[in-house]
Amino acid sequence: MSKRILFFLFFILFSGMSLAQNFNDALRVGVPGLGMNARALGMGNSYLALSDDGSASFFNPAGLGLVKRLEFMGGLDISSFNNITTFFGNQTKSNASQTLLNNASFAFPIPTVRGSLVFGLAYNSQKDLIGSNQFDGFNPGTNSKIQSLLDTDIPYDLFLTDDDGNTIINGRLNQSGNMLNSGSINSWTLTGAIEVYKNLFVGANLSILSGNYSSDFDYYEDDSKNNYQGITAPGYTKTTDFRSFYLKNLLKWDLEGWNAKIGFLYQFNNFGRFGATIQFPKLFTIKEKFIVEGSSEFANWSTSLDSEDYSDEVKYNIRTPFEVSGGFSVNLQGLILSGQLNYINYTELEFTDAEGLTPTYISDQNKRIKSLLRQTINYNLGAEYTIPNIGLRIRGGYIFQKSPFENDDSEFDKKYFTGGIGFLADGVIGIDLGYAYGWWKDIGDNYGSNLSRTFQDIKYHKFIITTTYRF
Amino acid sequence: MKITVLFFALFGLTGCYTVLWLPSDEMPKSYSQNEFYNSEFYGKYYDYYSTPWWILTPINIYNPSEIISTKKERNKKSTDLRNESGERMIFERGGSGRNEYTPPITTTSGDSKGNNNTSSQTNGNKGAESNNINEEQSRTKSNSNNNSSIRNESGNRNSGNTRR
Repeated sequence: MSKRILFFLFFILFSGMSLAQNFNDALRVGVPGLGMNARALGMGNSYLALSDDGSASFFNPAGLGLVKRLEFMGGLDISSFNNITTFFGNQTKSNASQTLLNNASFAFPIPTVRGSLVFGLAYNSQKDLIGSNQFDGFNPGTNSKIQSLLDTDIPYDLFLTDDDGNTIINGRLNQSGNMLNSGSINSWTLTGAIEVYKNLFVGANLSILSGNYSSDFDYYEDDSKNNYQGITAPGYTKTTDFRSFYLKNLLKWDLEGWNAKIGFLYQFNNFGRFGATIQFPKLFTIKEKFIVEGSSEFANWSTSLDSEDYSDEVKYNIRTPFEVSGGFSVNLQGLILSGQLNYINYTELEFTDAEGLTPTYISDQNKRIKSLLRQTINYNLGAEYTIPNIGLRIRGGYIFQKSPFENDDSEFDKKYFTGGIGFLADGVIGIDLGYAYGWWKDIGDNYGSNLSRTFQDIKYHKFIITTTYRF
Repeated sequence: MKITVLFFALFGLTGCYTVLWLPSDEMPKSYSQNEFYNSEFYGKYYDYYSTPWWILTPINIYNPSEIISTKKERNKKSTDLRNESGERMIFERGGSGRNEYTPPITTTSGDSKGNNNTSSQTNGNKGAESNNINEEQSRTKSNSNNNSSIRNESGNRNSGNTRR
């Protein structure tokens, strides 16, 4: 943990203002999402070596070659993010939820005399970006957000300093806040798959990425113990008896970009499949609006910031690392078992081509990414059993996503248990339900390193319904 | 750019194992079965995953000239069939009679309002002839309806009439 603190200190030392871009922005688009297929989710997304439906565009493009019938697929996704935050001994619960149309796809197998050639067009919601955090507690330390912002004009403009930029505020404030995040990363994907040798399928796809993200963070510091009764800004009697400081950060992203993926799938002896994929780096272009509002309140007066002085718009690219994955599945008399591994080197996350940010700043961020992050190997396990005669399928799975932060404890790794059922009606309409329950821990600093830290205990629920029509 | 080239290169390799069906080829009647979801355990899922749609719904592509040829063949066969049946010969004869049969020119006797009494006498008055022809046409039509009602008693004939 001490090394983590050092990294955060490094971060604080080298960033002029903690409001700017950092590794968290890169991780937001770099960490894979849970996808959009109920059958796959029920099997712990261990779907690389199955992928025999329209969701092949997300899991393994080669799997599309296994589709023999014309297929329409569509689905809905409901996600819920629950956070219990511990802040200076106080626990606060918060929640965010989101409902999305997460998939619409069409697969078209070309008639063949031998082998397989299939094309597909899909709209997928690859990842939701929901989150929440709420905290409230008294920080007895001699530090505060106000002090951390002294290298900006915000405390000065809010009459929290003297004319030279010095402040009498010295911590011992009640700190509270709430953050609500929403958004998703989506893609339009054109996929093709072909059987190049008997039972050996090769596929590739090109995706146009789009999406949006919004993070709304309200932060308060209150003199709940009346430590600051006198004049806060000397010469301005109206600043007598400081009561409260408020800062709002509203971050809005418009995402666009593209990526490509190739996949291989081999079926052997009619009961086993092996699959592998290479996800080429995704290139995101982020158009970012950053809006700042703030105010200070005294016993008999209050003032607020001119938002335009601190709000800005920037544009930059984020390039994600290669992702290499391999998996297998076996069918043992109606029981399918599957597993897969996924390798990601997060140190290859990179900011590029920034407009409105200096090259040195971007370079510093990229150096910080290489220092803070690490390579990870994630894994997925899944099972599906089809009850003969009834045609009902029951599923279970496990997802493990290792934390991308160097030296993070295992409690920061994301773990999910999943389950689901599926049913085929009239031999043409498949209805699948999938559910995932995830849990992990996280931390967040309002400023500095472990000076005003939230300890977050996160529980995550995702429910997906997918319908498939094959004719 | 490299990725784009790779993408298109992958789908240029169609010569390896997969052989595409072309409209000029005979529609494949069999297919390589994928037994991952075998019929023993998967029931309806077997077809769901394994049976190609072009087997379930064969593609029929017609050459326009072939369509004409087929139609001629069908007419010919129909004619042959009709000739084998006495009843149908009657129908055919009646059919041709409707086209070629010259009905007797009739004159109306009695008052000008006309009764339904007819005769085969020819009236030399052209004006009267013309009127009588009109009346005959009307009657012929009426006869046709009567014939139709008779045909309705015969499923075969009615069927034949519909075809024409």
